[in-house]
Order: sequence, then structure tokens, then C-alpha cells
Amino acid sequence: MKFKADFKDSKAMSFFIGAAIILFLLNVFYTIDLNAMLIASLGLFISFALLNHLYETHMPKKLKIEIMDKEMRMYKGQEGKMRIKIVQEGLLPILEGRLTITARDNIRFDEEHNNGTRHHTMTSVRFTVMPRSSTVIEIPFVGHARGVSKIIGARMEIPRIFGFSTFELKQSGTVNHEIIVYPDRYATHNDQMATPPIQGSFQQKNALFNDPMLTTGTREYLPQDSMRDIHWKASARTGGLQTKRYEKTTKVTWMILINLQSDVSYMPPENIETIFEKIAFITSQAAENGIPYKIISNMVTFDNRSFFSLEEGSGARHYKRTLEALSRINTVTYTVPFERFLKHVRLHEEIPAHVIFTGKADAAIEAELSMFRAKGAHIFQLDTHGVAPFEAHGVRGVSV
Amino acid sequence: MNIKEKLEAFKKEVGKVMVGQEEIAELIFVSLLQRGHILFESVPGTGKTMLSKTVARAVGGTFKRIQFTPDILPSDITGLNIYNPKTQEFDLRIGPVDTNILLADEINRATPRTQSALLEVMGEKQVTIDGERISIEEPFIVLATQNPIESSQGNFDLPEAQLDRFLMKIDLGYPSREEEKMMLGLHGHTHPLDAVTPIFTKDEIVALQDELSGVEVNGTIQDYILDLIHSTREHEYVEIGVSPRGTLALVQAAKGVALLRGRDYVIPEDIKYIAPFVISHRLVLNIEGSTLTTPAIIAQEIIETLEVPVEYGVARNEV
Repeated sequence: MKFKADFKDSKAMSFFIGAAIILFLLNVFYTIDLNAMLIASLGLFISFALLNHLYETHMPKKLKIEIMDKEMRMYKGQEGKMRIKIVQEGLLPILEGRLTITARDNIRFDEEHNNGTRHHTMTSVRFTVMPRSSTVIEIPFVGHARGVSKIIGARMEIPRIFGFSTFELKQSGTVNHEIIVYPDRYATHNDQMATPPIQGSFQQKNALFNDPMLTTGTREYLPQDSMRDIHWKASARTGGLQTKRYEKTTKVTWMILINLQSDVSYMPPENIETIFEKIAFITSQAAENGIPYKIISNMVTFDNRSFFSLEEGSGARHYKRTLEALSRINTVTYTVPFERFLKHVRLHEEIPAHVIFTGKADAAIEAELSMFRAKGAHIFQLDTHGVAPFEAHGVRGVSV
Repeated sequence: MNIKEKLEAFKKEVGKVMVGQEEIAELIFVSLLQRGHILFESVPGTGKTMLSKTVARAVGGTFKRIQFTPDILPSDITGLNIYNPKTQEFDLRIGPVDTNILLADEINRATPRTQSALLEVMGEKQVTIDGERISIEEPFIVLATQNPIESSQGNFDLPEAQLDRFLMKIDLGYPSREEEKMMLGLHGHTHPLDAVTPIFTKDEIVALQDELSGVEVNGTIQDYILDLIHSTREHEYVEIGVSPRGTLALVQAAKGVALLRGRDYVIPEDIKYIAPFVISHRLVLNIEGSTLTTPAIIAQEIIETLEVPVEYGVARNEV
């Protein structure tokens, strides 16, 4: 974290320096007799002013401030501690300094000060660092809302070592630190999808590939067959080379399509945060059951993917990426109408067995979803009631 | 040549290829003393394969390599019986596991079922092919490499039982700016690997193991190790903690560290130093833990928070 000094002379110091200059000028032009005590006092004040100036210019040079945990992850409502290490490598101490941190309000500091700005949280903490030593400040906070919180500003109020108020060091540049607040997991009913992955329970899609671990029988050897595929025992039994036949690989994947656009405006749907919480829940179920899934939303990105998407994956690591992706989705962003987005997905993505969409379905969306169904997908709708098979013509067109 | 001289010679050989990896060379040496298997994990391009080849060359003995791919089969690793139509008999062809040093490159690119083909040979130094048990000559050391599994495409997590068979997991990380500058000078016209010469014979590795048996682990240290292990099993974010095999591995690795530091007894510092490399890959986090933290962080947290035995209870004749 880099800081730059912001000096503001104290009024008392300015008064005394002004008085010293006036007395000096009077002495030059009118040769007045000054009281020895007054001269000594003024000299003392000027010395203090000079020493303070040296302190202000030299103290920050060897001061280092770093945030110890570059990245923190937490669920909404969980408590955490931001650890800030202040190292003074020089010989000038900081006595009773005050560090003020402002961050995005996805987190809330425990001892929060109101700075009058929306979407910000601010706190201050006092600290002392002696020469050539360091101190670690812990600032407790709680995860307040889904999203990514970053430090927006930091400033240090440092008392001048020879009195006369304080001076400030203000953060310059950005801080390489973020706190990811995951959405809460909102339990939802998804009985139809909670079936254990037994063959026949799900719609199976044959892949081009074989599963080399599952042999189903043998056939006559053909010249292009790999030697690894030869079934040696069957060859010995029949007297001619036999090649193994394998089971076709099968795949069951969920595709979750998030609608970030309300049906009445370009704003996000009213209950979008609840939807995120439900997605966090159903994906945790998928992760536990080893079901692969991918997530795409109609949020426009400016890379080659066109839309914000999470690649297909499964398991705990994928769930971690999912929660991070859900945290990073900004609901106030560029979006495209959901039916246009669905058309894009249909044309550019491999459509899996299960497609789950969020939000309301009007006639245009229903028409697009029917094209998904024609490709063999089962369509489910995720709304505030849970996940249910989607029926066309607004049977479950529940507002989100 | 005593063990310390061997270590220095080993570091020198590794240093011919890998700049600034002295600590890692020491860890590898500790692992070699146990004839333990090592898993190297780091982002692409940090020298995992190069380091493995350097170690293999410095150790001597026979060396084979398997480049793991998604379509590799268990029989490609262990071997198989091939029918010979001329003799009308089956000929046994043992796979690349029949070696002293086996480099399993990019091990997480094969499916878990294929990865599991290494379980028997790593644990018991033998393979079973069609019911026939074949012993593998000692020493048998697997040096495996894998990329951190950030992308799920084309990668498969190693099964827990497989991970447990690795004595250590070592993360290479990036070199510092100075080290990278030195590296630029090192990799000139000739390949630095050509300059690496063997410093062990395979018999020497077996003999070094005997020296470890003289290192003492007293009761207090044993309790400290058990406290550490049990803390991993009771952590809120851990689903499966360190196994008893992991406990033995930690003791053995700590003995190796003590020996390299010129002692015939283990002190808590030996355990604190080696534990992150021995236990972090043996921790299986629950789903909540895996979304919030990593096994390495949890291992470090446990090591740092656990009460260390006081000095008079550890080192003999010292208070």
C-alpha cells in the first residue's frame, strides 16, 4: 500500500512562526529590546517547527504498510479480520497514529464510522510503531452482502512528534487486496433433480468417446485397431486376434442460465439476490453429487466469450469457482434481452441434458426454450419457490 | 562421504539446473533418505519436469518416464500379458514401473482409475499382473508432477489414497527476480542437464536409510506429533485428516531433517519445518472448507497454533 504525505500546518504553529517573523522584523527596523524569555520561547518554537518538518519529510520514507491477506473469502454473515502490518524501518517512531480505512460495504467493520457516503464502510484504529519495529493491526468485520469488497481509501493521521497537531498520509494508487463475500445458501426444493445419478434416471447423451475401463465384449481384430485394445485372453481362446469393445461414455450436465434483466426494464429483477442464494444452494448439491454444471448469464463481457460464463466443471473446486463467480456478478451492468441471449447460447454452446433458467418467461423466451427442448434438453425454472420443470404457456411463469 | 557432504553434493548437482532451489533440494534429499515418493506441484513453466529429471540423474540407478495423458490405461503403467501366437503362450511385459526412479509427468492428466494403477507399486514395491506378483527392485521412487487444478478441463484430481502415498508435496513457486536473471545466464548453448552427474548409487540410498534408524524421537515429541495429527482430524473445515500412514511419514521425515542438521534426536523445529510438506496434501477439506481456504493454509494454521513442547522436555541434557 503506497501513501503520500499531505501536510497541513497547524494554526498554533502558524501563529508562532508569524509572531517570530514579526518580532524579527521589528528588531531589524526598530531595534527593540526583547525579553530573553520571549526570545528563548520563540527559538524553542522555531526549533520544534524545524524538527517537525524533518519528522514529516523523513518519517514516511521508511514506512511500509501491507495488507497481510491479499485475498479473503467468506460467506455472508461470517466474521473476519483484516490484518494490516505497519513496518517502520527507519529511526522515527509513530506515536498514537490513527489509521482510517474505507471499503465497499459488502463488508461492515465492527466499529463503523459513518462517512456519509452510500455503499462505503469506514473505521479507524489507533496504533504505535517504534523505530525499526513493526506492528500488526487487526480490524474485525462481518460479511454483509454478496460481492467483492475492496479498500477504496486509507489515510493515516500522524501526530507531529514535537506537538502542534497532526499531519496526514493518504493512500495513493490501488490496493492489491479483496474480500470475496459469497452469497448465502438458500435451501430450495429441487426434488425432480435430486435423483441419484443411476443409468436411466437421467437423460443420457452418448458421447463420441468410449470408456476404456468398461468393456462390453470383443469383436474381430481390424488392421487399424490399437494393439492396446487387443483382448489377449479372448484372442488365445478363439485362436485369432480379438479387439475389445467399450461402453460409450455418458454425460449428465446442468446448464444454469441467469437472467439479470427484469421483464419491465433494464434493471435487475427484484429478487435477484434470492436467486443467487438459491443457485449457491443447488450448485452445492451438484458439487456434492459430482454432477458437472456450467453457468452463463446475460451480462455482457468484452472478451471473446461475449457473456459472463463459468466453464463446465464439477466437485468442490468448481463450487469454489462458482461462489466466486456469483460474488463477482454485478447486477447493475450491461445486459441483453434474455431471449436474444438464449438464442446465442443455443447456437454457440453444447446443450446438455438439463437446462435451468432463472426469471420470468414471456412468449419470446418460451419460444426459445422450446428450441432447447427440441434439442433434447429438459428445461427447469428456478424462481423464489425453487426449481421445477418448466411448463410452457406461463404455467409456471412466476415472477422473480 | 558422510550424509552432510552428500547433501552438499546433491545441492550442487541440482543447482547446475535449478537456480535458488536449495531448500527444495534439501526437502528432496530428506525424501530420498526415506525412499519416499515426491509430488511436485506448481503452475506451468516453473521447472517441475526439469527438476524431476535432474533428481533422477543425480540419484543414479535406472530411470523411466511416463507421460500421463487422458487415454493412458492401467496396463500401460503396470504391464500386461501378451499372447504370443507362435509359442501359443502369454509373455509378461512389465510396464515402466520396473525401474529405480519413475517420473510420472503430469500425473493428473490421466483418469483416477489409471492413476490408481500406481497404488500397489508405490505402497508395496510390487505389481500384480493377472494374479502374478512381481517385486520391483529397491529403491523405487516416484517423482510425479502436476499442475494446480485451476481448470477442470483435461485434469483429474488424484485420489486421496494416491496422494497419501506421496511422502511430500512440494510447491516450486516462482523464482525471485535475481534467480530468474541467473537462470537466463545458465541456460545458454548447452543443456544444463547434461552437466548433472550421479552422486548416489542405488545401494547407497538403501544404506542411508540405516542411518535414520539411529535418530531418536522421544515421548514428548511423539505426543507433539500426535497432537498435530489429531488437530488435522478435528478441524472444522477438514473432512479427512492425516492418516496413520501420514503420522509415520511425518516422524520419518522429521528424523531425516534432524540427521541433516547434525543431530541424533528430533526437536519440535524439525517437525514444524517439515510438517507443511508432509501433511497438507493429506488433508481433504469439506465443501465449506474448500470454498474458504486451502489445505496448505489450514496445515500452517494448525502448526502455528499448536502448543510446542518446552525445551527441557525435548533436548536431552539441555534446559
